[in-house]
Amino acid sequence: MALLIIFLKTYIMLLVFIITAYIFRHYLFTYNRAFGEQKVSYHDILDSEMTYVSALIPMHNEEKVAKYILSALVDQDYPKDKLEIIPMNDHSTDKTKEIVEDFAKKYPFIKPLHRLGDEPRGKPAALNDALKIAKGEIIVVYDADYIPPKGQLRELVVNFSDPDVGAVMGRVVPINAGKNLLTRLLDLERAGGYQVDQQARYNLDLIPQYGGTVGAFRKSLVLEFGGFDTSILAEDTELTFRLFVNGYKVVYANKAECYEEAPEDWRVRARQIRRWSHGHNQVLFKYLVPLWRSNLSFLQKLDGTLLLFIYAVPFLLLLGIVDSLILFFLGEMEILSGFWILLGVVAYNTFGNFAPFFQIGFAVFLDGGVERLRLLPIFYFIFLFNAWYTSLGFIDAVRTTITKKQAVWHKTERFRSA
Amino acid sequence: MKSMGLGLEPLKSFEVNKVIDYARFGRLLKNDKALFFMQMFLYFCVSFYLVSHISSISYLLSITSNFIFTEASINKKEIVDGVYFYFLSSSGRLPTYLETLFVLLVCILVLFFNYKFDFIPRPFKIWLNFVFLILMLSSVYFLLFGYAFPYTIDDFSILYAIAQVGIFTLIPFLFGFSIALFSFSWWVLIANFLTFILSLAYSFVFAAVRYALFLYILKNYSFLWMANMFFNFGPLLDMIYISGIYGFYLSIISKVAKKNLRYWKWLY
Repeated sequence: MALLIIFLKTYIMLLVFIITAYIFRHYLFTYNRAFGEQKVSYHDILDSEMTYVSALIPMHNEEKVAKYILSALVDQDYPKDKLEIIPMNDHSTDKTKEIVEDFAKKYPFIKPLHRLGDEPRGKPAALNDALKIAKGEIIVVYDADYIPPKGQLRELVVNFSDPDVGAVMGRVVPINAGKNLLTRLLDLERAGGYQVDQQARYNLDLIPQYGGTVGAFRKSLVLEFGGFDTSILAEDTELTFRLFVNGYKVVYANKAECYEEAPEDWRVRARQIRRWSHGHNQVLFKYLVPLWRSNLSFLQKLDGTLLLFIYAVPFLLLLGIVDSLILFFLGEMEILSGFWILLGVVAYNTFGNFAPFFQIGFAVFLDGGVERLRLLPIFYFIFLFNAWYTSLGFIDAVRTTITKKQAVWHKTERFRSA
Repeated sequence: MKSMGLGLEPLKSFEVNKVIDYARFGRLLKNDKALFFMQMFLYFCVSFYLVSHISSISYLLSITSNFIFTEASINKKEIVDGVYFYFLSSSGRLPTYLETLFVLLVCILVLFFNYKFDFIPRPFKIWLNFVFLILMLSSVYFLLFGYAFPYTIDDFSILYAIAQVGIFTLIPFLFGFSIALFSFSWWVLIANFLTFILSLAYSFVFAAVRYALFLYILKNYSFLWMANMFFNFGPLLDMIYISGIYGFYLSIISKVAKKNLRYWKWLY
């Protein structure tokens, strides 16, 4: 029994240490945004020769949103002779195919790819197929619910004038932020994630993340890596680590803002973070060792590790809660009175909303938000929600990694009226 | 400004200002590092002061709570050589078999309905599940091993008071360091400090009221509720008002700052 208690107490202390490390990381990021030198992405020279670009849009039953993304891409100020748009209709059973074909008839640079029959469904598999037909060396990817502003392709593509740049990532802004409480909270979460987190990681030469949408990458590199791993649900995180491990960098372009449709339903949000966690943890299992074997700097490796573990820690945290309950009933509350404060407070801060309140607050302040800031305390109720579904995702990842079973891609439901 | 013969409407200067004002990707606050570190030092000193006056703070907390919950007396315990910690002392009771069984049944029913029906938003549902799951575990524990429950009301009282004083000493770091990031003007510094004091004061009142309420429940409604007091309504709950005050305060200074371009600088 004494050994068990020592083990449980050690676990709690270790967890407090890990989670405290995260809060320091986030504070450092926020400090950097407040006082540090800010790095900007590469700038376009207006009359510069632009390279040929393929814009890919994965689509599975996207009839509610398809026309918006296609119209937005058609309206881009990018030279049309240097642009092809490839909507990837991935086993849609609604009117996505008809909408895409209508656009293709009007605009010859829209070249639909219809994936039907026995081909495996899912974004990584669809991207692999699209890469086979894409003519551009630079591949820009948008999820179907996104609405890019007119000049965005230029803003993303110009970064590739640096041969060391393997991918570029823009900023995601919810278009339906005012819809309900969930979308408002997601808007805050996104602000913290991009305006502070991504920008600071870029400033500090750490690991800014390619997010799989509002982003671009070099086709030749991905093909050299053997394409996207179809067993991994987070092809974006995987590409980020592949690029860094192989000596390339990811640029974060804060000015390349793009609207997205945030989930308006808690059920949909639960499925989304569970899928993200599943995919992200698959990447953790695959890239933790290669990351430390790579030639990256120590700080990049450290940041990469913390980034890889971000969706695993909530599971460890739930184990910590179980651990604390056992200790409580065994009469060991004394240790908890000290450590539970730290564990609870710090864990809430870091994982309740994927960013501490001060990071979100600072980001929204920079964005010029006022009333939105008053929603910060509501994140208290999201704490366990996020921890729970992220933990389920972690368990999914462990299961699919052990059994080598193909992970199922759950599409995020759309809410826009067509 | 002339439109250079392109047939366009002349560009007005205020339009340029408008564009800059909303270019959020390039916005930076004119923060002052010296003022930031000065604030950090100040909040660190406050925390140090609180730690070094732990006895007086615990005494103050105890008498304030005692004012609300009169069925307790103030007691003290030596925690380090010569350093005493004050707490409220009272007598609690174990739950009866019948009330434990009743609570267990209520928990099972709530968890069942929560599982079956989907009318409560998920985050609240999960939070409710967590509350009732802990209460259920507590009930099962008291049904099976109630006689061996390892705490008295005094044990809980001491640990609650220690945890709460811990929160007071954390607020300068958690809240103070967070608002210290805003150092773009002297008035903000003063406003930061006043808000920090307000949050400490709020925390103190909140802690005292909660202390009294917890002891009242433990005395009159048994130890069955103790685990939840610790895991659900303990330090985690403090985060609601800390982030609440922070958010509310920030919304006020944000409103002022966004109208004044002198607080901002631009990347481009």
